[in-house]
Amino acid sequence: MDVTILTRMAEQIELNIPVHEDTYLRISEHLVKFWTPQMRTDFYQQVTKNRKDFSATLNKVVDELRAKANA
Amino acid sequence: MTVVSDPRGTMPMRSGIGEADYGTPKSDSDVLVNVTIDGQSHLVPLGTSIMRAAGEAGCDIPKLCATDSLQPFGSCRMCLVEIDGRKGTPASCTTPVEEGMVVRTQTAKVAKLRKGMMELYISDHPLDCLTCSANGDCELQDMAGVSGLREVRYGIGKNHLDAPTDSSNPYFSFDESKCIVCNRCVRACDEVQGTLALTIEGRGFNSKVSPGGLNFLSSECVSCGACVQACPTATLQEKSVIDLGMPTRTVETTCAYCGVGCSFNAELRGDELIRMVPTKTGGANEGHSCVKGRFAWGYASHSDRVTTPMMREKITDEWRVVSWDEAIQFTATKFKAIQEKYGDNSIGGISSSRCTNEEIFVVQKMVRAAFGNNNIDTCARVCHSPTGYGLSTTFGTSAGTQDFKSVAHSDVIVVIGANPTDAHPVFASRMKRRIRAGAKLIVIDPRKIDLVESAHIKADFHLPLQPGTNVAVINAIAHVIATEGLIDEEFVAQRCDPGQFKRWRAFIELPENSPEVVSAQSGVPAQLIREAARMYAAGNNAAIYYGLGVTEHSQGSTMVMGMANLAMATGNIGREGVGIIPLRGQNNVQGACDMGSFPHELSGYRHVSDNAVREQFEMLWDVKLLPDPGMRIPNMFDNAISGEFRGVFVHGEDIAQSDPNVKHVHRALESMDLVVVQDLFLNETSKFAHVFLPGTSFLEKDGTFTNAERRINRVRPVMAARNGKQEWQIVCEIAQAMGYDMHYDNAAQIMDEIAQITPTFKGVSFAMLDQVGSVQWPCNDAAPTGTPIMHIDNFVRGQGQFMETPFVPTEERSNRKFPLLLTTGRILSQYNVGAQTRRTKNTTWHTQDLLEIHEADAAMRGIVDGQKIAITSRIGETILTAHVTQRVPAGVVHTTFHHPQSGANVITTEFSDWATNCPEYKVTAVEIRPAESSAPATNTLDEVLTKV
Repeated sequence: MDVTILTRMAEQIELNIPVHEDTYLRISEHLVKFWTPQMRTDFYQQVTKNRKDFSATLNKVVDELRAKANA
Repeated sequence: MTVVSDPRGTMPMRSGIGEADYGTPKSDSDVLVNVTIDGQSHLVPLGTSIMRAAGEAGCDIPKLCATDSLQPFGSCRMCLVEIDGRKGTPASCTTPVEEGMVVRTQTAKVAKLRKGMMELYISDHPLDCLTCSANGDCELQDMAGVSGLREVRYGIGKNHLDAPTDSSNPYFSFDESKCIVCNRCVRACDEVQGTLALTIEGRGFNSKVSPGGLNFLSSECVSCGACVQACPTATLQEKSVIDLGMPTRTVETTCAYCGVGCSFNAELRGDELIRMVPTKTGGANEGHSCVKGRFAWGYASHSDRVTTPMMREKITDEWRVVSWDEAIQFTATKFKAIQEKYGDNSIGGISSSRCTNEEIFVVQKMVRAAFGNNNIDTCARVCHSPTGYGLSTTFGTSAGTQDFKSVAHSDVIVVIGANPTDAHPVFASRMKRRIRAGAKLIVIDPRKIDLVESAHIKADFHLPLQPGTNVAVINAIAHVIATEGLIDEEFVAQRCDPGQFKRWRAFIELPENSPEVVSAQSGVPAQLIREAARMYAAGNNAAIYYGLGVTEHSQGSTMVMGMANLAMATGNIGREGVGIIPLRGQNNVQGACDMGSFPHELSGYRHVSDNAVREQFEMLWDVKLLPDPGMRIPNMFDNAISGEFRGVFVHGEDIAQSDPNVKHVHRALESMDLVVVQDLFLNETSKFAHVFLPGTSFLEKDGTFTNAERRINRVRPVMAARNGKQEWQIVCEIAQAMGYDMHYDNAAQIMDEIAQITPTFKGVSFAMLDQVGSVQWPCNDAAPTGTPIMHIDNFVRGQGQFMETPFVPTEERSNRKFPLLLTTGRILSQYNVGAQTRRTKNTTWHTQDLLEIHEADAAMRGIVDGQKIAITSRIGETILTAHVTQRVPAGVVHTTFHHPQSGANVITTEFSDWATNCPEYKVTAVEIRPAESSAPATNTLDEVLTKV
């Protein structure tokens, strides 16, 4: 799936989830609950390749998801 | 129960074959009084009329102007009785029973009076009973017999026997010569439908029923059929009965149009459907109907129906008629070949809310078990998926909180982004009845919908917000409630999560949510927001009803949560008259969601990652299921274009017309190796299909629909399937051909499996529904026959969860190039993409989609009413006909999407709800100009109406 679409979806989710200390957790829960594994994988790769193009929160989301996957 | 009865039963047929008519409505009183009728004593509720008490006791009193769907009127003088200790002969319909009352209904005195009255009626009535279309179904005829009238002593005098017949309505005629001016039609239009289109014109002998305009068609009449239903003679009669004769048997079933889910008796003569009559026992409609359910069923036998399977190698080839076996084998083989080449995830299915629960259940089962993935989605994706997200998050379940009857107890009714008089007309009548009785009404909608101001209805507040600013406005309402001390602190403390409430309160009280700030964003004056908020919070029982104007936005899910916050903050949850109620667009949106046709959920809204739940399904289905969500419809399209998704089974949904940005959808469909469409007609999607599998209409289906109030209703086969197979059978055969053993002997077995594996459907079966009529899930040990009102003591999730709802403006904004905002919606006579209604006489009212444009916007562009205009968005362009009006505010335009040639979705964008990807149909920035290639059209709305 086109990563620009995934990026836009993730950024829209980030915009709509209120900013708190646990925002990254709520975003990662949302991605696990509603995105296919392939969409998540494509998105991780995109963020990992271009970390500076993504917000700190989305970077934390990817780290969180990776940590969970490795746990 | 499957009602199969003789229409010439003991009770008058007009109130529905086999349904008794007790003359006046039932009393709701719990107090019983003792009354003696014709020597027998009876206990009846206080407030019951003598007529009803007698009828329930088996002593029918003659009547003409009375019917139990209407308030007593007391005009026909046929129901006179004698009461001990009272002078005269009072009308039994308007006289309530009293404790100790002794009534005599069959004395010589009243018999003489009744016979005299009948003689007067018959003296001005055609004596053509044997050739009359209502012969055998005429209360006047029945009463002449009951009163013992054998001759009319009066000679030929002044009469109405040559009065004309109005045949302007496509479905029924009005033969004035047979009218006895009983007023039932006028009262039905007032009391039941609430349109007030009919009146009695003239006085005395010149009194006559009048539709106000030149004729019925050009009047305010909405063709709901209530007047036809109420008429005791052949004056108002279905044309199908006039043409084909009286029906001889009935089958009770459920309408397949909107989410109200009306119950009907399909009345047949042999195997031919003569008419559909709403049933008084129907929980959703209680004897009422609309123009679609009552009359627009002819599409089922339309010549466009495809009844044999068809195939082609390429979508540019001609269709080839094939056997079922060939079509199924080809489909299965090709799906398997695609999976072998591109992987298990390369195919999927899309189910439809037009189908039964049983059909939907087997489609999702086929995808999960035979396809081996979770790539199943439903057309609810593009309408109410935000309802699922929002209500699950806040309350714990994806469903409306109330039954429809609840509105009768509402003191304040809020309608947001819904147009019930067009899209849910039978419920709208119920709602209007309550408003006329004194409930306050707040409408939040960019357009001046009928509820804002129509006959005897005027909204107390209309908040005409700019499209895309719902969340800002709901936040501002909540801000007023929170900052003016209007929160129901006790309810919140007892029922809701305190931590979440604290967070929400801190958020909602921020100045950015104040009406004064929001006014600039939404265009709604701050004072209006404040007053509406106070009315909602201060009303004893306040309920919110909403539609796709809430969900089909980039913040659809946020808005649903915003409304849920409001209900929790004011304690408007868990009793009659309150709640949050989504008005579902299609007949079985609720059921489609319940049945597990979202890619992340199994039936009963249980996530696929729940190991315990998955294990139950795996054991029952004898297959391994995946723990991760599958693709949503937009994901399928995007992946098709990128080459990863290669085959789809489309069950009863015209995605190539109904989904947004159809160019993108067309590209996706063109990219696939196999598109299988199962439907009644060749549609826009079938242009991209390789296999077409003919489906069944609702008149052929056997199963259940679940309406917007969670009511599970039986859908019974009225006629044999024209394609020779039930749709669930076809799906099972594809699954079997793919190597997964999926077999049921009948649809009842599918419901048994649903009930076995879905906790909220516990105990539901066809046998149970046949016995009790219908049930509202959840059904469980505590509530075996259902739960009309949810969250009474606790929320399904335990504590109610307040959610912060920050307003994030949509990216789709008007600008210099596209200065207008387009919204879309339905019209009464048409339904969705029109596949059904365009193949009925409903096209009489809506021959084309019109673009509503404010007169200032039209004048600025040199556009006149009826002119062809080009409408352009950044996605595409289409041509529509302008309807210049003040119904939309300046800066906003609106169109329906019922005709494929209009291409409304050529211009809608790819933007969608952040949580669910429900498309943002309700906000598209557009520009409009006169169409270059066409002269102004002659068909203005008024001209269209006049012509027909």
